[in-house]
Order: sequence, then C-alpha cells, then structure tokens
Amino acid sequence: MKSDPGMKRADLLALAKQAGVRGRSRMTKKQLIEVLAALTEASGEGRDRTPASETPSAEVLPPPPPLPGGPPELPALLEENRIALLPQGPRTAFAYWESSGEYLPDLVLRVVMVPEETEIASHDVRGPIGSYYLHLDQAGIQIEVLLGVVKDGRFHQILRSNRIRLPDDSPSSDLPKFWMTRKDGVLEITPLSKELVRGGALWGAFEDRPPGYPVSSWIRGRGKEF
Amino acid sequence: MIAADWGLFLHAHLPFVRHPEYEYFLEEHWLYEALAECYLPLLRRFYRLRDQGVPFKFTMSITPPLATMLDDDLLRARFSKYLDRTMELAEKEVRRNEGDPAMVRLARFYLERTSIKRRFYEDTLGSRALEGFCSLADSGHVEIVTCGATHGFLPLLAYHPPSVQVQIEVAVKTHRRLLHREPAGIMLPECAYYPGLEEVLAGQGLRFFLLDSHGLLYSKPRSLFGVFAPVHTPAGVAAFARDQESSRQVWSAKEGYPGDPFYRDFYRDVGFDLHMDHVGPYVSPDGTRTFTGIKYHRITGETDQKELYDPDIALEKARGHAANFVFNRERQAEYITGFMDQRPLIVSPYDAELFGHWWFEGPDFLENVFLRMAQSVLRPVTFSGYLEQNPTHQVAVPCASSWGDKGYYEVWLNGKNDWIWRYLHNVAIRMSERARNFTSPDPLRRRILNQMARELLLAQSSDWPFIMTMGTSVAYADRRFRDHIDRFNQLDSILGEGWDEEKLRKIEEVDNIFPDIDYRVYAK
Repeated sequence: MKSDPGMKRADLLALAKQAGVRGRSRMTKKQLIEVLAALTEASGEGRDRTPASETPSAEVLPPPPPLPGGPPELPALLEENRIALLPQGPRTAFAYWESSGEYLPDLVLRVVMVPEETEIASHDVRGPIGSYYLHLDQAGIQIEVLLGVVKDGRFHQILRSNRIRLPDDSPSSDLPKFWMTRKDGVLEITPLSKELVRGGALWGAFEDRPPGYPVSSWIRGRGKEF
Repeated sequence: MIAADWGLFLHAHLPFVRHPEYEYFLEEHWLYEALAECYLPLLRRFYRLRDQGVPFKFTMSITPPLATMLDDDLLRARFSKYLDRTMELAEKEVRRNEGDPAMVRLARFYLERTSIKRRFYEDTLGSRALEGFCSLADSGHVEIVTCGATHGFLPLLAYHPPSVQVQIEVAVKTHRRLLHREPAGIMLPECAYYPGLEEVLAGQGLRFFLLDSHGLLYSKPRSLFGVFAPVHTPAGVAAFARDQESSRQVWSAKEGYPGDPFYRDFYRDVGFDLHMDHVGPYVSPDGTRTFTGIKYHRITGETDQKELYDPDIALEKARGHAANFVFNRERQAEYITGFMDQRPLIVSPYDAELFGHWWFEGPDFLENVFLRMAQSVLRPVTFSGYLEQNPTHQVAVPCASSWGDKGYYEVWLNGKNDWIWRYLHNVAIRMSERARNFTSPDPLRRRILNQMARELLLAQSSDWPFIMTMGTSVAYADRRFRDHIDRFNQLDSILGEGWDEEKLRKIEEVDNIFPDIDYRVYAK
C-alpha cells in the first residue's frame, strides 16, 4: 500500500479504496498521501527491520535465511473505533487510535489526570489512524487520553481511552502499617508495632545513597568492601 | 549458625518454535542448543550433587512453551538426531586434529563430553529432560513454578483483562498436565508486574511471584527490609525481589564472572571457522553457517587473536568464582543483618540459558556454589520453603516494573515494535466476542475457536517484540507475529462463512500447543 508524492490523485484514490479509507473522495492529494502513510506505519510495514547494533551477537551471527513465501500482509484498517493508552515508563505512555469515521485532518489529543479530569497536556495529531508517545512531567499519576476536534474554541470528544496508572520511580514516603501472616491458607493481618519499624534503619541507609546508585553497591561501598 | 537464606531462581524459557512442515529449521536449534549446552549439563550436575547428599535447593520456572517443546515427540526425535550429528562431528574433529596434541586434546574433550551427555539423556532420563527436573522436584531439591502461558507481557496485555486471566489460567493448567504438580508460584514473564495483577494470581492459587529490585524498593508503603525479605500483597500473594549485587556478579558482561579471559569464547565455533567441505553436513542444508557447539578458543580479551581453550584451567576458574560468590554473600549477609531483626533472604534470579549456553562453565560454577555453600553460614532455600518457615511479612503493593532495560516496559513498547499492540488487542477483543457468542458450537466450529485461542496466545509471546527491539532474528519474529495474527483472521473468516477442514487441520498440526485449551476461557 505504499504511496509516494509522485503518484496521481486517481492512483492514490485507488489505494485508499483498497485500504477501505472512508471519505476518500473528498480528500486532497496531500491528505490522501498522509492517510496512506499512516496506514502503512500502523501495520508495521514501514518500520525498520534491520538489526540493531547494540547486541554483540548481532555483529557475529549471520542473518537467518528468510522463510519461504513473504510474510502475510496484515489489514491496515481494523474497522474499529478505539483509542488505547499503554504505560511505557514512569513518565511516558503510548496512545494509538483508529476512528472508522471519516478522515479528520486536525485532531487534538488531550491528556487528563483522573479522576480530577484536569487537562495536563494537549497535542495536535492526525487521523483516522495514528499513534503518539506522551512525555509527562510527573511519575505515578493516573491518566486517560481524549481524541477529538476543536470547533469554535470548544473541544468535541470523538474517542476516550482506558485509564492507566504510570509506574513510580522513587521510594514511597508511606510508612509500613501492617504485617500479614499466611499459614495453612489462612491470612491474618496485624498492625505493625513501633519496635518493628527498626527496619527504618535499613531505609536510612538506602536514602543516603547518591541518586541512581544501586542499593547493595552502596552498602558495599560504606566501608565494607568484599 | 545460619546468617542468611539464599534463593537461587533459574528462569528457563524459549519461545514455541516447532516447524513440522520443514525437515530442518534453523530456529528449532534454539531448543537443541539449550538442551545440549544448558539443561542437560545443569541436570547432570544437580543429579551428582543429589547423589553426594549435598543439601542444595533452588526454585526454577519452566515456561509452558518450553515444557511443551521438551515433551514434544517430534522435537525430541529431532534432538536425538542433533546429538548424533554432534557426536559424528566430534569424531571427525578428533581425526582431523591428529598430529596436533593441543587441538586433539580439545577435540577429545568434546567427543567425551557429548558421549556422556547422550548417555545421560537417553539412559538416565529416558530421553525426557522434563522428567529430570520432575525427579529433582520429587526429591525436594528444586521447586518448579510456572510462567505466562506463552510468556505474554502482562502489563501491556492488561488493556484487555481476559488476556491476562487466560495467560495465567492456561499456564497453571499446562503446568499440571506436563509437570504433574500444582505450581506454588509464578515467574512473571520478563518479571513484568503491574498493581492489581496479584488478584489474578491469587485467583489461580498462586502464592508468590518475583520482581526486579525497584518493584519492591518503590512499593507502597515502602518495604521495611528493602529486597532482603518479601512482602505480602493485599491479595495474600508474596512478592520476592532480586538482589542486585549477586545478579551483577553473574550477569554483567564487564564486571561479571562469565567475562573471564580463560572461559570459553561463545562466538568462535567450527561451524563458522572451518571449510564447508568439512562442516557442511552439520550446518543448515541451505549453506547458512550455524553454531555446532564445538569451540576451541577462550575469551582471551578484546582481540580477534583468540588463544586455545583449556578446560582444566577454566574449571579451576569456575571453582574460584564459586568460592568468591559464596564469600561475597556471607559478607553481604553480615552487613545486612545489622539492619534487620530477622534473617535476610538474598534472591538471585538468572535466565537458566546463561548457564552452559552463553557461559559454558556456568553449570560447573553453580555446582561449586552449592558445594561451597554447604560449608558456609548460608542456607539455600526454595521460595515455598522460605514462606513456610517465615509466614509473616509486611503488607505492601509493589511498583509497576520489569527486568528489562530501564526497568519498566520500554523494551516491549518502542518505535520498533509498538505497531503490534493494536493487532494484539484487536484479536483479543474479537476472541472474547466469539467466545461469548458461540456458547455451544458444533465440533468443527469448536476446533476452529480453540485454534483461534492458540493463535492469539502464540501471537502474545513477549519474545517477538523483544527480538524486534534487540535486532537479532527480527525477520523471524516479525514473520511469526504476522503468521499468528493472519491465521487467527483466516480461522475467524471460515467460522462464519463455511468449512475448510483441511486448512484447519494443517494449522492445528503446526501450532499444536495447549491441546486441551477451551476457547470459552475468553468469555469470562
């Protein structure tokens, strides 16, 4: 389904028809190229499949012989109305979407913290199919993304994602409160006595270490070289 | 007096690679090499320790795809042929090197080693490696736990919660069927955790899982004893975490033991070094050169001029490194004990395939660690054994994490592989819809639906996005992913439009994992 800027609009239209793109007859040539490129990207066809060089084995091992026959081509459009949000790291998330409605050139991806519904970021994106990596300022927050259009200064939502919580990237300030005993399949919870918080001494040791320094290396480096 | 418990954890996993449609298939060698160079050498040394009465214990995971392949008749028969070919090549190498005392000594080393390995596999294990691990479990030396059904990356599959549920449920059932026992715990695929996963694990009767260090260090509330004691999640499932120090000594290519210049070099192999007239029958029939397992050189250093390998010196090195490892754990235990009012637990998880495959002397190292530890103040434990003796732990919710680069999910979700997730979620959603719609299908439709479930599970393997990121065998991973999605789509289309039993039979024959699967698990 590869298009290029040298193709005529009629050829691009034929490709768009083959891919099942709705509203194609009203699209400009530029829009057709754009939507076809997005479809190619979404099906993994345009991705770099050359080996990376970071692994030593990549330099030495020969490439495996290709399997007979080409890899099956997967449908670029999945005919669904869906936006999904996936956590990637403490401050990064990945959203992908497909809107089986008509092509809308100027979409907006809004990031909201939930349950407060506070908007924390907004990005201009394109549809009906696409993806976006979100880079956020805060770790450990709970977010959703909304895909929509802005008309007359108002945001009109088309799709809303699932809710995710980003991972934490630092120790919690919450102190332990409970023990749990599991014996013969029975769980028993008891409050943590003050004396037992002497484990805090270990945490004191952890907290003094330089940022990013592995805990056990740091313990080793505190005069106990072994 | 015991100063600390030591929890060795070996994670044994390979993706499901089985191609009955071809006489020879290069990627099937991942299994044969792992068996010949890792699982059998490890088993032989653990059997020897048991015979000597050494009090060793450890925990290991054998993932459902690996267990299925180890149990598979076709792959077992092909592995026997692989051993035969290795024997034949070793014999040829002895003849070729006559007149060169140093080389012929090494060639004889491989011939003898392969011969012992084959006798152990065929005579002691009855050509069933899985039974070897079960025997060690029966004698209480190893605790075998499960993993995801196809090693699916659970935090990203969690977009469609039934996918996670099925990965765990099918894994537990497969463990029961192939290993004849209940799994007490689970190795989360890629050590990847997200808060809430413990509810699914508890629902399947699993009592513990393993995290990377920061999974516990960043828990809420904070863990009292860092990684040196597990916590209980609110669901009652215990979470253990990796000790970084002992991991790095073994894992690290630069600081770790496996990089010692006297250890065997992995990459120099006669499959690449010798003329094709000599090694042709032992590499790929299409002329692609492959590893044969016969390697004459040691790491030497950062040079292409590799020195000859000396197995005796390497064995001495392994013994020395084992002694150093135990000594370091003792010092570590002494120091940590000062901060704790209970005996610390040091958890050391590794990929099983590191020992013997990547690090040739790894099995000797482990054998000697246990021999040394028997004379030390450390006590090797299984995770269940530890929990039985220490039933009380702090309550905490671990932090979302994995053991991949940077500690979170980026290895399995980045610009090289992010395109796969929309397909994975799409087919999973459709699978659940079909499972809810077809409540009592006729036998043929039932077979189609069950095969669709198998294709979905195989597509979910974390190995495909991992390989896409790492850059080796990318074409194979890309092809496998597309094949499973495509087969799912083909089956879905014949489900509604008409029968093609021949097509179904062919797909069932190739992707024959989970013979007892019931697609209705996706309806829940």
